[in-house]
Amino acid sequence: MVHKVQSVMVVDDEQLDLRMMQRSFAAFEDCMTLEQVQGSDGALGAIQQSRPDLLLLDIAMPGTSGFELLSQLRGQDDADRPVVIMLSSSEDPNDIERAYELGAAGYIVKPTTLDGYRELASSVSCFWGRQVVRPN
Amino acid sequence: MPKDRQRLLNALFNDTPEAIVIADHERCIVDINPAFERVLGYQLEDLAGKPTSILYADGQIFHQTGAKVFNEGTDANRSSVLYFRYRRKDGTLFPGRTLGMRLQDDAGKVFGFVGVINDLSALVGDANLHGEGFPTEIGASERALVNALFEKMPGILHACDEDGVIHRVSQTWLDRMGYTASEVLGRTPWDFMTKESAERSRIGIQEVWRTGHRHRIPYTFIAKSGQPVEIELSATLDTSQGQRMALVLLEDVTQRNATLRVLEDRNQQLRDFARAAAHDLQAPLRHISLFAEMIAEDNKKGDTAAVADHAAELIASTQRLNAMVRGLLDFTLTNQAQVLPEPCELAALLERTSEALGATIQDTGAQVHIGEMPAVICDPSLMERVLVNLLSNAVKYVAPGTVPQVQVSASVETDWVELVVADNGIGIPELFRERIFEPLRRLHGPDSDYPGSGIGLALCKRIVLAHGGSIWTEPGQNGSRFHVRLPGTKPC
Repeated sequence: MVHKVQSVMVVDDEQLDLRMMQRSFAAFEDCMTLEQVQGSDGALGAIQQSRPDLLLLDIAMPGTSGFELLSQLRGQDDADRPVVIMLSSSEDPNDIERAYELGAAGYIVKPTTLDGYRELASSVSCFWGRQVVRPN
Repeated sequence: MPKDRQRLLNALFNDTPEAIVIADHERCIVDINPAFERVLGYQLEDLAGKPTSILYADGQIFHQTGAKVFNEGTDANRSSVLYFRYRRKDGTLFPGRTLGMRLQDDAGKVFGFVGVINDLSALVGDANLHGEGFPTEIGASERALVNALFEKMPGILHACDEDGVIHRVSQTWLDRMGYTASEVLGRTPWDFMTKESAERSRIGIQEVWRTGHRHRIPYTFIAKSGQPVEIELSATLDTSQGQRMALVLLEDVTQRNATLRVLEDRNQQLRDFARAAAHDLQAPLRHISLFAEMIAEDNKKGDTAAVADHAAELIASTQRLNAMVRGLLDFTLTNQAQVLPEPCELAALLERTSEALGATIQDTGAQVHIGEMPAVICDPSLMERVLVNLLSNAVKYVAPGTVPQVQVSASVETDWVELVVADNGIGIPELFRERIFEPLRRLHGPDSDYPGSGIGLALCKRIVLAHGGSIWTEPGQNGSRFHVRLPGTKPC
């Protein structure tokens, strides 16, 4: 049995970024659900509880950063852990390298336009929600 | 031995212009020739039975060089030419070129020593200056030039032989390393280097004998004071005196290296900082652009409420960006600011700080208690900014509804003053107690109750470090305690 990516969780400290994600993913409700978590404080607990298929994880968060969360996730011996795509407002080469070193499946620079957000939601939904299959 | 030989030897001993001294196996003088009496001013009865070391200007040199060569020498070293300064009976000094010989019987047992001393003062100049003369085969004008080079040129120079023994050292060498000539001559450069440098240099000097030169090799010497002296060594091979010598120039790069290290450090900080700044400035910029777009979209739809909403958020993002740019500028300027420390009364600084924060303190109803304050050595305008940041943080980071209570106290140690700002705020989790001092690292997001630029504590740390002090935070009974250590005014 295989299944497709259905549940997405976005972890970001910025209200606006969460709102933009919500707005843009709303058009793809038929194939994906989006759960929002603001800030990194309760993120690990929320991930363990909701067990999303795909995690969109902001890097620059106050307190525990996205990278720290990613390493904590990787440290867990859990075959069911989510695919992680890192989000950042910059194309810092060091950050990009570190993201993949820590086992992220992708690195997305946050869009600066509304169209950019629509395109992000559309491509993530089409690829991860319609094409990719995951072990059950 | 032929009869003539005996007569010849006697004539030689008595008539030669070179001073000859004969000592027994314990190095006690048994005979001197008439030339010796003339050159050194002694009669045999002055010296008979006395150790030869009394002839040297510096007994130490003799033990380090002469005794070593003569005692430890193999057959090949039964005779050696050495350069020493000698002391005449009247106390004056002169440079001498000495042919020293060990007298051995057929079984190899040493039964005495002979020294043939050539007074070089006419060629070398005043021996009461430091250093010793080079061999005599070059002319007086060249000699004067060589002397000037070693005595007057501001270069750190020495010349050493194949065993590394230093035969000549420049005045600048002695001044820089803090030694006298007699402490250096006859020893090796390796005696004055760090262990690591000495090991490398012992191997490196072979390069001089092999290729004739070395170019700017970094080594570390240790001055007499114990201070490291970083140098770059260049050397060239000289055989003009009939002996292979390394002429060595040491370029003092201690200051340059220290500056380079500071610059490197500073550059790294700037790179990190520019990266963090570019990264963090992008977030509010992106928000501004998104809000503007949403305003345009919602305006088309005629949704005025949404437009007003987005406009308010756009303004908030602009203000955030503004605060960050100001903070960055502040931080950069502080980074470049020169620290001008002077004795300052902490009490007066705190008073000015409280005045500057008057509105904030009044708005929050905060109670700020300032204990007895000593004087410290600091730059008052920079330290005031540290205090402004610490006090405003103490007032700002409290749970909603809590009246901020801030306690400022100080304790004096031998040469330090430790200032403590204690609050009743929300505290800082252990994980973050160090990183809150990094620029742009914040514990609270822009949507939290605690907005800020992420610069304040980084600024504090930068300033305190520039004063040679330290800053850290610990949990208090409730809230946090920020500690600042500064140099006190009491002499150490």
